[in-house]
Amino acid sequence: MGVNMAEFFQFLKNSYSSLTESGQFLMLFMVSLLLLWLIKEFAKKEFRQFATIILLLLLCPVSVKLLLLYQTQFYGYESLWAMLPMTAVLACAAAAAVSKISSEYAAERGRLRKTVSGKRERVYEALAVAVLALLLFFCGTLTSAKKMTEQDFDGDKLQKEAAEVLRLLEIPDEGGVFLLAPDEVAAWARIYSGHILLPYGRNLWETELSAYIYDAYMGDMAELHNWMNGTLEAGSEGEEALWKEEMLLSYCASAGYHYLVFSVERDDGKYLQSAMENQSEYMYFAKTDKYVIYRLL
Amino acid sequence: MQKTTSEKLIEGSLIVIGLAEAAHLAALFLKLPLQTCSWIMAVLFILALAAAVCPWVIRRIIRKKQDKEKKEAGEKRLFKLLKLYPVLFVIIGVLILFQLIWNYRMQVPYTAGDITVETVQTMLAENGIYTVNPLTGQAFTTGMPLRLQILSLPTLYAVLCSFTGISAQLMCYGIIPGIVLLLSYLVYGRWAAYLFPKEGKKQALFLLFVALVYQFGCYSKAMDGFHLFFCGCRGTAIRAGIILPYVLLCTLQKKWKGVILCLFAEICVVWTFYGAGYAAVTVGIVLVIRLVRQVSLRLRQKRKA
Repeated sequence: MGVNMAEFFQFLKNSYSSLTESGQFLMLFMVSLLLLWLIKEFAKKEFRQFATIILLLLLCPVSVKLLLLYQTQFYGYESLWAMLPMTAVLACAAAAAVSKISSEYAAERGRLRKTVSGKRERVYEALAVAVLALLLFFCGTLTSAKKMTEQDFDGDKLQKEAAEVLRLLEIPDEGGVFLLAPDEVAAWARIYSGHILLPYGRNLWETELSAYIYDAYMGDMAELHNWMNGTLEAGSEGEEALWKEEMLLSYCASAGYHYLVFSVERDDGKYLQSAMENQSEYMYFAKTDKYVIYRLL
Repeated sequence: MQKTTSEKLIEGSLIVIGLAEAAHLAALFLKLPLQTCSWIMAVLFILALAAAVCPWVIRRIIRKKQDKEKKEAGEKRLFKLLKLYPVLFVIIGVLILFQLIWNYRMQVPYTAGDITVETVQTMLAENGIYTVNPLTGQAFTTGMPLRLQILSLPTLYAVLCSFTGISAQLMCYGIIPGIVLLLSYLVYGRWAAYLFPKEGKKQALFLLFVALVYQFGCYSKAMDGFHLFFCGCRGTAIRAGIILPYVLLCTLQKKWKGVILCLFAEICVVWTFYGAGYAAVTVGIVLVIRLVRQVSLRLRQKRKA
């Protein structure tokens, strides 16, 4: 039980870090909530009570564990934060703050027995809005999406290099063609077309998808996957390495995989090149900047 | 109390999800092809639209004077706000437009942990619902949990693609996220009216800050902005951007029809524990708060007496 508790706290710590390492909206939320409690005129008491309770529930390890169990741990800790009315509280507090600043300015001018200029009041409001917008900006991000997903995308919302490969394939309107490709291409194949068939799916390397699809893969699929990605166990040299390449190529041909895609670096490997020369089932089909495509004859 | 246009659109979209679910379940359990499911969905949508539009048409034909004045007052108030705070509304409009364009042209889909588009493409290719493994296109060897098969969004998107001819990538990564984003703003429009009744400027400021929170707050997978900009077609995005804020609003306002619609909609778009999801927790907490307040009020009254 001690180990489980330690693991659970480590899990909480990691999940909490992912919430707070890139931005400080959670901190802003807490400050906003405090502001809503301090504003006497704020009439929506139930709303701020709810926001406070849900924040405490999401921070307390006991309630977090109960909430995770409530959803049979299907969702992670990050998903629970969807229940926090972050957007509503932040926007409400910001609007209330701008209004408060404006009314304080008008009251101050009144105390000094100076007339409240409408234009000056609007300038103060605009400044308050600008300051709060900057605060949101510095606590958040303008990180480009490319950096977030670490990929380049084309106009059709496909990863660029994968799209270049997939567009070269001859895909029928009925039936399907089998494709064997590195993960970064195979991940987009079924998104590009439902007529591209894969020997193994994304759940082979994205294990979280195994919660959605129970299909598991035999050992030969794992070997095929490693071979395609160039991560097959090292140690084979000379004749044995060549024999392995030839065997896997022959397996692909007998399984009827229409297209094989290799990275340019992988294709330049001497054993794969020799194996390709020694076989007659696959022929060179096309090439992009990063990949070489072979087609079954 | 008459619903506003925003409420009609929000609840209408939740009803669309429910009708899609009905058609999806019929096709799933009766093993109907996607084409048949599409027609069932189309018929249900047309009937629902007719049921919504006919009373409105009849009301307009009869046209009671009071209703007309109320409606015109509502429209006048909106135009009045636009005239009073043009700069604010222009900024909000520009921000929303930028986000919609970004979604449509530049949005980068975050595909980790999601198989929606593969599922849509599989349904379109096979003309069937969960007949083959969406990740490989081959027959299932073990299968897929029923609790996920019953979710209707991939079928709804496949039906939309088959009727419109739009590609699955564009539908799921471009159009649907835009619609979800707009609906989310409608929900927060209702929040603005709830939090600052009859205070037009604060309502406008609230919406402005919602747009900024979305824009600057998309740095983490826990943030609403991330869901809406990078995973807009997923059930989790619809839950975070529309269902959860709307169910909280409806519970606070005691609009129980809206609450029930949200509870059912959540079941249709994300996995829940036998129908109990995050919306149920939200409603439960608000009801507990109300109960505690009532009990403490009664205790205080007893002490005074």
